[in-house]
Amino acid sequence: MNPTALFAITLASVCGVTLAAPSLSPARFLFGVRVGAPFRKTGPGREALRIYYTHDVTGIAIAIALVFALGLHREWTWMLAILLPEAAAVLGYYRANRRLRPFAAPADATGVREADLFAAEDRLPRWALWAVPPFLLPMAGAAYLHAHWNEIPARIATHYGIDGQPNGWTTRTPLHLYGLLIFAAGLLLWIFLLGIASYFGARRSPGRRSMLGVTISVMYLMGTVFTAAGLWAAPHFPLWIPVSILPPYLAGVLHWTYRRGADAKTPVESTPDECWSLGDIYNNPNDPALFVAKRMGLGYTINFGNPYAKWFAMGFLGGMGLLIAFMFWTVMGG
Amino acid sequence: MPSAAKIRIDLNSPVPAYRQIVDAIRVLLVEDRLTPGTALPSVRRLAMELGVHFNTVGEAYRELAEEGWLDLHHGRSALVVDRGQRAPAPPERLLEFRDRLRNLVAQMRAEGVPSARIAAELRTITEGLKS
Repeated sequence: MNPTALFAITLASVCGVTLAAPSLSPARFLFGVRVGAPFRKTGPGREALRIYYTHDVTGIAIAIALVFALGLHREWTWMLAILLPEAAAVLGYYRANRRLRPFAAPADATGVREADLFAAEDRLPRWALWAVPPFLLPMAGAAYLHAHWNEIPARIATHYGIDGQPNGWTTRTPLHLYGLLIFAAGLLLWIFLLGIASYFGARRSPGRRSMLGVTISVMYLMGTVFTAAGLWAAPHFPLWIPVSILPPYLAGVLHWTYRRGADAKTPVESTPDECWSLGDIYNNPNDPALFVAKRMGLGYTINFGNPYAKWFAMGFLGGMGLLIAFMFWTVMGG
Repeated sequence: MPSAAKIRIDLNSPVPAYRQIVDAIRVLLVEDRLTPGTALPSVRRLAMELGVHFNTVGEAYRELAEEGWLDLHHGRSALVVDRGQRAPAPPERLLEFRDRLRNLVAQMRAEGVPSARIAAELRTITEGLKS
């Protein structure tokens, strides 16, 4: 695939997410501040949106200008151009959040909590078994590699420059060839464990089941992408699969998140405003929940006030670190 | 298990959270919406759902157990038990209830609720509480 097209698809996906971000939270929140649904159309609401979009669009413009000025020959240019819109959006988000804080709605109604008094064991729904098939994808990939083992050359390119020319090589060994597929299986396990942890560590709500569903759909996405990537040494490397699957998946999830946020009936978790800092960081030592629903975007965020939060964060970040180290060790030349 | 058995507390209320939990569960018990043999959620789960400290729920469960409503077994759920026929409250306890009731009625009157309405509310509530 043409590297420029690959870059354009990746950059367009990143820009799509950052541009859509302010519309992805429940309507009564704007940049993580509880302001009420109609607030977006008021002067201060528009001002906060203007601040955010100014930062985001500036980041996107600089990224595109950088690519035109320096080209895509150097990898760091490529990486910088992808990261710039995200960094600019994060900065815009925090500045808009700070601007809106004085307009936060009174906390009177946020202290009411309701709970069902049933002791039924908290179990995963039966449909959570749909998390199993994605694990078959890297296994199928390994079977494919095994079947075509003799067609794979003894010396294989492991790394390509942005110009499409190989600049890293390795030999045909099981560890090198199956490494990325093993990484894919590990990544799927990591995502699944994260989904289970957030399911049991969060309060019971309809949103909790939805998030588990999204997590499982991410497993399908990642299973497909990394299994396809794991076939890098195969005779017919299907690069088009990961490249073509990501944009429609992102568009689908963004659309669903937008509709969910815009629906006034979507329940919003009641958490004290004063425990949120920088918009999306929650720290409430009096709240025993390990995960709470984010105020912007989709999913849960960790409650850093929970005594297990730091151990959990260390364990999961450490797990991801080990997985990435394993991938570099096996694929990038052992 | 009846699906309607819910409790609601207000963390911004001046009434302590544990007292609100005790009162809310006691209403459900007296109204027979929580019947003997029903298991309540674990302390951890209820604390998480209500967003309060574990000790707050633990304290509430202990108080209800002392009143004879719950059986607490270590490592198991709190179980609603049959209290049997209770002896009538002693006169001094009745006086205490009357004081609290008088204060509440006075508060309602001060906020403009007519006497007839207060009497009707009290009758409705009393008839709703079967035990």
